[in-house]
Amino acid sequence: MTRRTFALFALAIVGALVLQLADTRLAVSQSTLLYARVAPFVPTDDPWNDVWSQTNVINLPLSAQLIVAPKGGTRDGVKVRALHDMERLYVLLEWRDVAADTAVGSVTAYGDAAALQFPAASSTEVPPLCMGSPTAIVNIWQWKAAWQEDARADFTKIASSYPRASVDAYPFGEDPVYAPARELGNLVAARARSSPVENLHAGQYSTLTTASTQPVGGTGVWRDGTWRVLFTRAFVSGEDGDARFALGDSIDAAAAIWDGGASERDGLKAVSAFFAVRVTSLPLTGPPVPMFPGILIWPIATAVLLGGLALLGRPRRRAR
Amino acid sequence: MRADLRAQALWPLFVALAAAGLIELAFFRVAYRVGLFVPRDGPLVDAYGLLTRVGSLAFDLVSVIGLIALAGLAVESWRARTSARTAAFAAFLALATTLPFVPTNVSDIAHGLFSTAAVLTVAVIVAPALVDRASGAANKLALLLVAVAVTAAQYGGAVSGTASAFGTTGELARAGVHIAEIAAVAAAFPLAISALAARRIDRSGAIAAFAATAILASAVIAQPYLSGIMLLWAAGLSLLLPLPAYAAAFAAYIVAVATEAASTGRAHRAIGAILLIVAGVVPQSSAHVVVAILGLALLARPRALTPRPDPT
Repeated sequence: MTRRTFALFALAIVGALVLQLADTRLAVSQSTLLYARVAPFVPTDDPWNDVWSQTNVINLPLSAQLIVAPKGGTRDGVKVRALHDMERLYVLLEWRDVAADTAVGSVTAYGDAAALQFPAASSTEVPPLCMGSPTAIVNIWQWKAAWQEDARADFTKIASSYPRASVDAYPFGEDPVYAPARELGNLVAARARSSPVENLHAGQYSTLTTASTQPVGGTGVWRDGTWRVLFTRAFVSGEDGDARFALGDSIDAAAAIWDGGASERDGLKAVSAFFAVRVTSLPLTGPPVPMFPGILIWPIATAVLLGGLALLGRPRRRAR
Repeated sequence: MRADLRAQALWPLFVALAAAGLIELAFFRVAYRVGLFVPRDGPLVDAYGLLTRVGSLAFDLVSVIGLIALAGLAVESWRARTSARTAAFAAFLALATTLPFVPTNVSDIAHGLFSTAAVLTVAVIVAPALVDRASGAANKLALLLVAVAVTAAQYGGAVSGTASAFGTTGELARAGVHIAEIAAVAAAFPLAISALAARRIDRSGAIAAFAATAILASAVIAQPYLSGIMLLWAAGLSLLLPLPAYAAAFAAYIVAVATEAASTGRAHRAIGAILLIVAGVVPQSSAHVVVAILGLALLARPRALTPRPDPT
């Protein structure tokens, strides 16, 4: 080994050790980026409002969740948009679904659902996509069509699904002893809902836990074979397990979709890879320009530079 | 000749890069990601922690050695008075080095510039080889397909990064990824043909190719879901083609590596093929893009990088 090669090796090893000790990388990942622009007003009860047609959209491919049983998931893509008003973040998911499944009145019926996952504010590293890890908690917002239906048309009871069912006698109907989940505050059993979106924390699969505060709002509206679900939350939230947002920051996010009509629930879901949401100060300036100018920027730049390189690469005469 | 001699000093770096890359691929991109299935107590956790630490160090080594090797190639081009190559290598090196440190508000532009520089570097690497009469048709086809794969993957990234400010980009980004995957799979066959044209495969090479392919195919057949997601995470393969196509391509890559390694004066091509495998089809980080381009640079070299035997 020559002295020069030895020096290069020493440089590489010292460089790698410095990077390890500094807990930094001399490389960056190449992930999809979603801009959250500033909108003066975003109606929280209308995911089909025109304001959403003025912002950019990314189309994320989804794949079936295949890590932990039960495995599955049928939706193959979801469109994502984001806005903010300097105080709250709004994220809109849109996907095709031929039927709106909102009723869960029997043991074989499942409702449509959608979720967003962010690293918790307490996480110091990018968590594993599959529900985080014990050292990198994730914050999950799950919108449930059934919860929204509960809020709209009263809590779904047996009588909702079987209106002709008759009960001879049930003397302890309101006794909390016979409704322990509701008495203990289990949101699944709650009769009064303030939001169709559940705020959850997870530190690995099988650790999903309802957060102690429920600051996430949302609305889902199904129209002509398409769901649009709007999630919203204030930038800052009190819990360490919650995500935090700030102007100028980028945060990793991932989406998941459940098709209740295909009996999807729990791990039966379609999931995206991580993408990045950047909270920018860019204002909404009307409908986004067609995508072609944006896409052509780099090929045109490449062609121009390649021409320059071709001129530069002409054979040069050596100086005698 | 002078440039060739200087290039020989780079040879051990490329070998180290390939070794570190394989360790990083095995421990950081694969073993680290199966941590979900490691029991939370007992010796397995310690072994898992050690392996991922080694993998993490290997990743940093790959990122540093990759930049040093890139700088070496830039210097080599400059000394050989090839201005276009020098400019492309220098620009790519500058962007690859600074990309991790650019502010977030300009990082999408920086990513686009990085992708553009990567494509330019691919062009200046491949173009001379394509017009070189000494380069065989199979080798030219392999270089062209790898160039298409790198370009498609980079434009997929640049499009989804920059153009998302303008409109919907998902379909085009996905198309770029699919083109990259098909081109990368197809490149394996002319690469193997080019290697076999120079030297017949020996028994150990054939056994290595068969064994590696059998192990991978068995894993995919036994655990299709888990293997599928691991291949996606580790190598960017979405498995859009039929499984036999991937098995055949993988075998062809191994044949190319084994045959080129055993051929006199062609070991640099074996390292080049290994670097392409390490980089993956859709590089997940800028360091892997550097590795892919270094692999392509080795495959496009008409002359050996290995030190010549001392005549004395």
